[in-house]
Amino acid sequence: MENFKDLLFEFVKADFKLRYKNSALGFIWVLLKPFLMFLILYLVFNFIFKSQDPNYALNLLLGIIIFYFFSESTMRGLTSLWDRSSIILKVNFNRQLVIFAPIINAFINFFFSMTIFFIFWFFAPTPITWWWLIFPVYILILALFILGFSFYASVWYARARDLANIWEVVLSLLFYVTPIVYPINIIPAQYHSMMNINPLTSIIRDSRLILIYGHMPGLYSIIYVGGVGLFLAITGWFYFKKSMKKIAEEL
Amino acid sequence: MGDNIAIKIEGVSKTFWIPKEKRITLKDRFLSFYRRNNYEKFVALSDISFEVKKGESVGIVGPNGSGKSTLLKILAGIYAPDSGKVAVHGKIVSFLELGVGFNYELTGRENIYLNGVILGLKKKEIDTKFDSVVTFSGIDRRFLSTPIMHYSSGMIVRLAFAVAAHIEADIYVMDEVLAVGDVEFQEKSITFFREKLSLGRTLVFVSHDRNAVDKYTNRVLSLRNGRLVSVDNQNMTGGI
Repeated sequence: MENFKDLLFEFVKADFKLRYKNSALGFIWVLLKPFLMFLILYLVFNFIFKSQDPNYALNLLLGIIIFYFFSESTMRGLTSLWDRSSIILKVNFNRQLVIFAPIINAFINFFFSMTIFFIFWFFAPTPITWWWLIFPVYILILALFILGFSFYASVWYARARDLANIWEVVLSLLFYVTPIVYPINIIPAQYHSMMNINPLTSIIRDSRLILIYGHMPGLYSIIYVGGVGLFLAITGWFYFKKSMKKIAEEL
Repeated sequence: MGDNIAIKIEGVSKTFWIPKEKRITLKDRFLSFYRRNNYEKFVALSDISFEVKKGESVGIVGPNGSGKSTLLKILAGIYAPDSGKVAVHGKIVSFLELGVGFNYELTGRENIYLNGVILGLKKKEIDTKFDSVVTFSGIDRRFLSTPIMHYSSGMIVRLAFAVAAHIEADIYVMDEVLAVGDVEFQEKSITFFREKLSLGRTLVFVSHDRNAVDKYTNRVLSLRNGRLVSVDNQNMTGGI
């Protein structure tokens, strides 16, 4: 459809406005939520368990912000088709937009919540290197995962509404099997390769490596997560397209 | 195929498998795993064929459950037919409902844009048509920045209709929604249809109310139990 861009823009705008309407702090919540989550976890893990890592705060904050982007966008991507069912049942338009809009909104939130990271970074700067330029590539790869997940899960969600509850539980599990609040080296080495299967592990580890330590990320891991992410997004796209023929009958 | 055909439907059929109980959670799915044959077959449309010529105004009537909504949704591209062919020549726009995508928490202005792009307009086109839409709706400009939940239901319908009236297409497919409302509103929609027809546009109008269809169309197709039972050309002198 020729007005694809305009339609996407209006969807994103409407989502954005509705989200912060009738709330006193409005958009500030985007910064406040990951920050408060960080504060709680920081207090618990730094003071009670006494972390040895001098960069613990930055590591934790970056991990939380990236994970929060993942959890928010997958949760919203999951319900996106269903949320727009009243329009889908009445007008034929490019259905993929329905998936893109909430993910773009979650990305906008992510973009602004990165400012908290840079405020912290400002007070304890780490070296800026050319590798910083690769950081957006990791976010792009993460977006591929989110998109791929949403293409599949939004269709399944239309059939079984339990999926939102299940995914919520999976997300809280993922939060703890991904080295976010703890460093990976507290886990016995023989489990590391298993933990690396989780793409969030690689994405968060390499993002920290780049932004906090100024190191080159592992080439192998970027190929692995990039490849899996691309595969998921492409197959998801075809699955979604195929499912759209019948979706009006399932909503 | 002749150049004067707007819509050609050939042997279109559509069957739904309706679950006896709507299975919406996993538990329901697992439970029903043991109970087979839980679906009821419902033939919504069987072997429908007809043509609509360019510039024609065609009504589709039938009682509830006759398949007219299914046919409408197939024309609108929302359902895909199980078999048969649907050929549309020209730009088609369907109004199954007025104000699709309207959100009560958004302002009148925001809803005009949202509804407009959903109906296929570009943002630029809405920019240029905006004043005309507002004038057409008759809504006081002071209220454009007010969330439409504070509008009266009449205002909302007028706003929705105003946007719809500014959509340019070759073929308009409409549900009876456009015929509802008060006398003034009906006048407006008749003018709308008349204008479109005078420009050589094609109209397809679906309703269960024969009288409403007679008012707007010059050919009527009757559906019953998913079959086309009659094509009535006698209304040539009537219509609009």
